[in-house]
Amino acid sequence: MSSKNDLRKARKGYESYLKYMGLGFTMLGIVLALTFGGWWLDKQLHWAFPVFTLTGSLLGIAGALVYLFQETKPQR
Amino acid sequence: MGASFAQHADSLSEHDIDHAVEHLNAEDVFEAAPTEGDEHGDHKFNPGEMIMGHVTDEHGWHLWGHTSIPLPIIAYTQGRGLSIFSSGHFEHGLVAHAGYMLLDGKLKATDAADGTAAHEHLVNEELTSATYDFSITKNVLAVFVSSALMLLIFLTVAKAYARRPGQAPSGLQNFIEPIVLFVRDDVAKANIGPKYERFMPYLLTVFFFILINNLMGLIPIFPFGANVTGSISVTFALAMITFIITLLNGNRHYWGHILAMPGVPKPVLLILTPVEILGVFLRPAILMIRLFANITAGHIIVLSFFALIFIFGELNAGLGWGVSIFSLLFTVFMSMLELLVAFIQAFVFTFLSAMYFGAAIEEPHHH
Repeated sequence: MSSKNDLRKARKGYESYLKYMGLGFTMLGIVLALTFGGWWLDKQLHWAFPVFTLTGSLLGIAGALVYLFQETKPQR
Repeated sequence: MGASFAQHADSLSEHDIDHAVEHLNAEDVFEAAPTEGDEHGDHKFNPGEMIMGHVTDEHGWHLWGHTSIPLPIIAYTQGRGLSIFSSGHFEHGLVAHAGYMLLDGKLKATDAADGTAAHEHLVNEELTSATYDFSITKNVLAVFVSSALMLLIFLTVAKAYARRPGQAPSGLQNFIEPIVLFVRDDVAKANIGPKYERFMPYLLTVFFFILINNLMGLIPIFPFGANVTGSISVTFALAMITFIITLLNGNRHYWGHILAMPGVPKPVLLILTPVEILGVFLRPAILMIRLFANITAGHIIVLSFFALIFIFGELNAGLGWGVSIFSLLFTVFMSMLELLVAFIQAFVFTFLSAMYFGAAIEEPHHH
C-alpha cells in the first residue's frame, strides 16, 4: 500500500511540471504572432519606417514575459 | 525537438540532395520520352524522395518496388461533377486519367486526354482550385483500419465486463483496464476535478486513437505503417475537437480570466488580454504541431538510417553491407524509443486536453 502512495507522490511531482510543457512554445508563438502582425501592418501601410514591426516585436517579448509570470504565479 | 530531428536528417543526406536535384532534371526528360527500360535502375537512390514518400500521404499504398495497392480517387470539381475511379489508372502518377492527374502526390485537374504523360504544364489551375479531393488515401484507409481495430478491442472488452460483472478481468481486459484507470485517475480526475465524467468518453477515445495509430505507424507491413498521427491534417482535426470542447465548456470564470484577469493593474491588462486571447488559439496549435512533429521526426530518423545503407551501398557494395549492421542496430534502438514516444505523445495530448477542459470549467475560488 505504501508503494502505491509513493507512486502517487512521484506522479504529483511530474504532473506539476507537465502543466508548463506548452509554456515555451506559447511564449514563442506570442512573440512571432505580434511580430508578424506588425510586419503585415507595415506592408499594408508602406510607411517610411517599419514602426509596427518594431513595436510588435517588443510588445511580443513583453507580452510573453507577462504571460510567463501570470502562468507561473503561485496558485491562490 | 522535431525541427532539430528533421535538420539532422537533412544534414545526413545533404550531399545526395545535390545529386538528387541534378537527377530530377534528368528524370523530367525521361518521363517526356516514353522509354521505360530503367527496370534495373540507372536510377540513383534519392533518400529525400524515399523518406518523404513514406512520411506523407499518398493516393495508393506502396508495398515494394513497383507494386502498390490502388485506392479509390473521389474528386469533386465545380462544374464537372463527381468522379470516382481507381488510382491504378494513374499508373503510379505517370499519366492523366478522367481529367485528373497526380503531381508530387497531389491531385490536379487537367484537360489532357487519358494516358497523356503527367506534366506540370498540363495543370488546369482554374479547375484545380475548384477541385475537392475526397479520395480514400493511404492515411484515410489507415484511419478506417485503426477505427475497426478500436471497435474490435473495445467491443470485446465491453462484452467481457457485461458477461462477467464484478469478477477479475481476463484476457484483453487485463491490458485495457489499467490504461483506462490511468486516464481516469491521473489525467481526467487530476486535471478536471469532480466533474470529470463528462469528458471521459472524449479523453479515452483520443488517447487510444493516438496510441493505436502511433503503434500502427511503427509496424512496417500493410495495412500498417501509414504515418497517420504524423499527418498535420489528422492532428489539426484532433486539436480542433479539443479547442471546440474547451470553448463550449468555458464558464464565466474562464472567460473573465482571459478578457480581464482579476487583480491585475489596468496598464498590464492592455498587454495581458491580447496575449491571453492569443493563448486560446496557440494552445491547440501547439497541440497539433507537437504530435505531428514528434511522430514525423521518429519516422524520418528510422528511414534515414535505412537510407544510409543505400547511400553507402551505391559507393561500394561491401560498405553498404557493413553500414547495414549499424543501421539495423540503430533502427532497433530507435524503434524501442518510438514505442515509448507512442505512449508519451498519446498521454501528453490527452493530459493537456484535460488540463484545458479543467481550466474551462473551473469554479471561482474565494479570493
